[in-house]
Amino acid sequence: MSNENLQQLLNTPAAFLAEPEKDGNVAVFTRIRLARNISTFPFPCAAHPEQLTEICELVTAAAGNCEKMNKDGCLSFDIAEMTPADREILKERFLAGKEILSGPENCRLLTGKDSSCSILINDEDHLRIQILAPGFQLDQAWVDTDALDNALSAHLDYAFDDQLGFLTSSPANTGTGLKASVLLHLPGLVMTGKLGPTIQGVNKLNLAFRGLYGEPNENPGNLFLISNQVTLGDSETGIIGKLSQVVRQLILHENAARQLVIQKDQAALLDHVGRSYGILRHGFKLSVKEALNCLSGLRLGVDMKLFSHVDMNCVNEMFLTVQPVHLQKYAEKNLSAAERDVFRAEYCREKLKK
Amino acid sequence: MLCDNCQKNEATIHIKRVVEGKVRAIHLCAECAKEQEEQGAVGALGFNLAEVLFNIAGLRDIVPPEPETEEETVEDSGSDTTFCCPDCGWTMEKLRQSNGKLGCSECYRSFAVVIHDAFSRMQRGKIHMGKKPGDARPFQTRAALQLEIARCKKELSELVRREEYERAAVCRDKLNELTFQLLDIESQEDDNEQ
Repeated sequence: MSNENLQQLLNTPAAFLAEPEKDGNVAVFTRIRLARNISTFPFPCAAHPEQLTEICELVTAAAGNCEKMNKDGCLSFDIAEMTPADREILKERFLAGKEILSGPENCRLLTGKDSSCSILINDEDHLRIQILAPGFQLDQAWVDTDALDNALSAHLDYAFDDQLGFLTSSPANTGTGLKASVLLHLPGLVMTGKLGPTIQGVNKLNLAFRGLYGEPNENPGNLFLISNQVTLGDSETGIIGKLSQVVRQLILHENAARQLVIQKDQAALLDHVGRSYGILRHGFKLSVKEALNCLSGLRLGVDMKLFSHVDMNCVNEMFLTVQPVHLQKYAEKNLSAAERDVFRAEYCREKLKK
Repeated sequence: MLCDNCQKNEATIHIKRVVEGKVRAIHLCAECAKEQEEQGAVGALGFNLAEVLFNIAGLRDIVPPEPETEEETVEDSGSDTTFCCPDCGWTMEKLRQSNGKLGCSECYRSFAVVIHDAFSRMQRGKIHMGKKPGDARPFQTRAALQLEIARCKKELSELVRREEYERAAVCRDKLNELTFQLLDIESQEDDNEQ
């Protein structure tokens, strides 16, 4: 059952990787998560297996009544029954965190086929409601998350306290239970050496800033995730408003940095983009790290309208597919690390054919 | 500044820890910090929540415990039962092992001393200002409104000081609206009392 569902998930394009109307050259996607618990049960870390099973069924039934979850068919994954590689697919697709890799019992993921809305049951909290939207759309994503949360709360009695708000397993999420993030592509800031001061500035504002595929100073692909850390003492719209302001500034700075690089040494930039494309289009062996770095260069070239046959959506999808487990699924067989590098190059050549 | 751990690379991550009531600064390079994070010594946010909580618990001799907890301490001589949730049986030890996680809603009361101190370090306040279940509007309790009014007043005087009069006018209108809402709630409460 899970296998069929996984195939459906992989065959449906991930809606959050589509090219948005604006700011798509810097912002890849927006993610909002809400942590919620049901008042009558202990949190997952202290609950008995029978209680966890009951929670699973309660939430699944509640989700079944939500129009948003069932718009184009809802897929269900029982994490403990999946193979480690299949769990990794869900993690690579941003549908769950690394906690699911150990295969916790009674943990279930419900997701729409296009991955845009999902509920993870019995992870750190009973529910983790998640909305993914393309580009920088924090306001719209919050409207969608809020609607799904309200629809679920009609069927579930949330653990809520007048003073402290929504009660969560970790005090780092208490209050709104809200974690909002935007994934940004920042090659301009990296090339101009302005990333360090940017990180310091962002950290001072109580926001978290991390490289998606590594430490900020060694982060292949130049993709960075910026998120709120405060969940108590501010409203949802207040938290999202503050994060939006910072993201808007980062987008402005990134665009200015790209212009600066063009003015300073256009040939060097074109060389970087051209070489990146050349390796992806004509290479025969590609490690993940090299692929991610070349995709970053290619993405920059697409923004500069240098390639008529490649669009942002295609590059965004490639960022996902070059990951080890996605690549393996795509190859439909188990590959050794060396074989993966060869197949990764083959996949990229094929994808960038005119 | 060089990394405290390897003494080779430049330190880029600076952490302050409270050990036995004294603040100790630790300077690490990205590699060593990553290693420590994998070993659980430092959390993804640059600090280990369990450690933050536990360090505060270590200070509980200085922070006077709430009366209820004091009674329990007199009754139970075992140190682990000092902080034990009557609902789910969660203990201080489990809190530490699970990286600062709580066992149930009641734990917020059972571990109140520890948690409220953690809130003042990690969060913007100790009162929920957001929505309530099933309602998109900001949650409007008397405490939340009072807090928002105080914040608004501060913002207004700052805007006037900076001579940003247009934004100050918007802020003044918001302040008036909030004051009316608070008066509304207070009169409702008075009615209920009568």
